[in-house]
Amino acid sequence: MPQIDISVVTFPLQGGGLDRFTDPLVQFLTDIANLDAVLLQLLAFGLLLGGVYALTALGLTMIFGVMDVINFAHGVFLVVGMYTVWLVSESLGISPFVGIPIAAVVLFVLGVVVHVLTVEPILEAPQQNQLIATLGVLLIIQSAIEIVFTPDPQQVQLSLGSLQVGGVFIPLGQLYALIIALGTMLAVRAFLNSTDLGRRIRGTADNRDGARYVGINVKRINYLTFGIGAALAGVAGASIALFQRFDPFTGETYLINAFVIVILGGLGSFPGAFVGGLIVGMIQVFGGYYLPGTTAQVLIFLLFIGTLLVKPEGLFGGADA
Amino acid sequence: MLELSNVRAGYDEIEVLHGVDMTVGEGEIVALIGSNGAGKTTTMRTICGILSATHGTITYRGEPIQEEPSHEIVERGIVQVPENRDLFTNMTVMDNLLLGAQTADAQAKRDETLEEMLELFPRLAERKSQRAGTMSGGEQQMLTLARALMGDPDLLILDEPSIGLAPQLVQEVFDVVEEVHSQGVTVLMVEQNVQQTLRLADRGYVMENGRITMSAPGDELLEDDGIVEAYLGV
Repeated sequence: MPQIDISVVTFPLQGGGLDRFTDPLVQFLTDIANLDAVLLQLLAFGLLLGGVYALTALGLTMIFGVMDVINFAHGVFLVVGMYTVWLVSESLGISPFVGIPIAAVVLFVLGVVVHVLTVEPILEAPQQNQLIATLGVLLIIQSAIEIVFTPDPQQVQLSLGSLQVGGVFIPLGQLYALIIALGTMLAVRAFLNSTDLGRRIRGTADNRDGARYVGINVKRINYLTFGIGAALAGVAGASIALFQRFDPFTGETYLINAFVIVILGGLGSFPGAFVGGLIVGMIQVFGGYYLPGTTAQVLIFLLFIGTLLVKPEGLFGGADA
Repeated sequence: MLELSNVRAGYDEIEVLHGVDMTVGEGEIVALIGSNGAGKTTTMRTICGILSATHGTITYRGEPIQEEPSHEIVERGIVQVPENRDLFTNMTVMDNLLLGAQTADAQAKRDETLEEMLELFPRLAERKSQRAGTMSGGEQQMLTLARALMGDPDLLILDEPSIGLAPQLVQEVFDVVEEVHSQGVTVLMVEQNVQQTLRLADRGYVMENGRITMSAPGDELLEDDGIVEAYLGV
């Protein structure tokens, strides 16, 4: 079986020569007709990657849904999660799996600090102000990581191996990341639907003035939401670190894809983030295999533009954070 | 109970209230009437901390509240039914009701109040799981009232509670206000339905161009020729 790296940075699927890419549609249909094993393999990879993508978009969509803030720092929050799990496992010898909740806590605190220092003072200002402020946060944290840890790629030392299920190869690192992603999404969903605090967050997302009229402390909800959104980025980053090398700039690609997912699924929608994540994951995996070069990424951007033109409210219409 | 003294407020650079003075006594029903754009809703929003007063004082039970955020004002027992309802339209009727109980006191008796509300508004009981945004205007207005009452208010502020409702529902709204008042809740209300409101009110204020121009008991205002001509269409 070919070794396939499903990282978003490189996707070197060997396909058997240039001619294989000249007519991807024919090849794709032939594979379907023949029930080619590679199809199942790609589906498995698409699911694994899509689940993690969904998790990367979750915090972003939550912050937007509740606060109307487009958080450009989300990508670097992912990176802080990656470095946290790496530091915890390398320096303290603690299992990277234990490092994941630690990353969530670290990112929650970082999110609250970033919110209080940069977002809250300009929350009522035009949206571009917050966008620029969070972009500034991204650059500051990214540079700080680069200075402290160098730009060299790092890797969590973890050899998890893989599973072989019915001829389908499943790397365990990615599988664990998917399980963590699904578990986190279900936990967040349950928190939002079944707790008083979750209901307050949903209420604030639904109608900020309504929240003020009933007596919700909207300011408190804002920083909690930003903290939770950052913590979700921390879990996502820490999960990705289980199977992928990373450097201070790894978050950028994930951030771009997370924006596509959030727009595709609907701003503020959790089910939208999940379905959007799967769609983008599938396009990346199938496109990476059947199409030449970086065409898959182009397809993702076409989908992004198409969504904005045809259904700007996204698949799930938003307001469901 | 509530006193506004020389309150000025507005939106951005535009001042809407040019020095409002009014009082609401414990246990009263006080009406605020005036034409569209007079500043009635701005007054209500300023009392509740949704807008900030730029000048003057608002005191509640002897303490200044004009600089407090809205959640602290609700914590003091002032709850508003806003003019445009501001329901959580993507959430269920039950979610909306539960979100009404935010203060410690309201949460302590949340289940009890919830039961009362579902008895008082049987239509809401039938639609507990329905999304608020999918209900009719009348049902939404009842939900807004019930949500406010879930907050266990001492002072209930009603901003146009019967606007856009069928006559039968308007009467239902006034019946609920009377019922709530009979339980000891003080009421301050803005209402287009001037005649019915002034009949119900102990006192009324007339507002014009961001200032209070007249104040008198409700029945006296009903007999004032100027009021009759301006607001009762006679």
